[in-house]
Amino acid sequence: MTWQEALEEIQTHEFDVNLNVVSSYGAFFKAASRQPAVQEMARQLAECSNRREETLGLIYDISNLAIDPRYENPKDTSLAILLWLTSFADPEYSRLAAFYVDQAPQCWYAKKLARSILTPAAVKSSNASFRDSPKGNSTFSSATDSIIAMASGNPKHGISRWKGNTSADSGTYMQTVGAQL
Amino acid sequence: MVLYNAQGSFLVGPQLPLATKKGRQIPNEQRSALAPQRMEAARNIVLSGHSSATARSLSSAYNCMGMVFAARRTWVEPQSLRMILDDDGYRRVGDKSELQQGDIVVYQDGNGEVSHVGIVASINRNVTAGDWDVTILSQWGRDGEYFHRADDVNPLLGSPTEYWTDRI
Repeated sequence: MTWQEALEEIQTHEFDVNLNVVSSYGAFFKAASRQPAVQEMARQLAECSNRREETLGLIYDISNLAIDPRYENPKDTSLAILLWLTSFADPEYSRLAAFYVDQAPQCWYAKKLARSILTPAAVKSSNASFRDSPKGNSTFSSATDSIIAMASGNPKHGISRWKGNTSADSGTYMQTVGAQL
Repeated sequence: MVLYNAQGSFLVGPQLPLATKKGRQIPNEQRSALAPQRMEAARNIVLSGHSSATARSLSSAYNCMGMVFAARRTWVEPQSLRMILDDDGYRRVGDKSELQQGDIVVYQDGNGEVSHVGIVASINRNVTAGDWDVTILSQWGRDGEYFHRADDVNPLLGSPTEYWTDRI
């Protein structure tokens, strides 16, 4: 399975329906960790920094998509998965990604995860989402300095090389990062 | 102010005042509805994979716990189940032959954690198998409410392991 195939799969109705059959936050991420598409994305994120940048950009784009205000965000599942994978693959990006996701309208699992990243002290050990990483890595760190450096245009993390595959361009992306931080 | 429930999960939606018979609060959250197209997709996927299932309703406002214990009004995480069973005076049904409509079925995953709950809709003796055919009504996460054979559920919902009743 390629990255693109995995990315497309986590955005399908079938994937969304299958994961949302469970009834708890912990079970949702536990189920996610067993999905081949998620495992493949975790593997590639661990090995390739460009994937991490691409994922951060994708999270930004999806978080800013307009939705029908009558309904829950149809991208809740895919956003939750992308943020979750980012939190393990790159703790330096995870707080920024969580910030974007927290702004996304009418999310559920994604927003719960975003808030647990933005306020890590409140996360309890019983939370299965951190036990069941597809990589088995349960480390979270804030790395606020790195995020601010990125936002101010420091190319240390290569964010200026980000090329999204959706509507936002990297210039807009960088401007927004600076404004939000 | 950051709010999170007893399971350490952050609260995103509004809560309803909901308590056990002994007055202990039952954590819950109300969620936005999913779009009708998404629910139609859920029904098609569920029905195509589960021959015994028939759809009753396609609401996504509640989960299995919310269907059974909160009158289909809100989302209640399964971790609250034991507290509710204790406080509301449920007793375990040891034998399927004692089951009646309205009793509760509890599903557990491979780790013994409560993963799903439903209501016994019907029970019929299966003479050939020497067992009982139990039909359950349950809400499958956000994917709608279905009548189904007790063991015909998505594997992520676990297996039926316990039956409980509040009959006096």
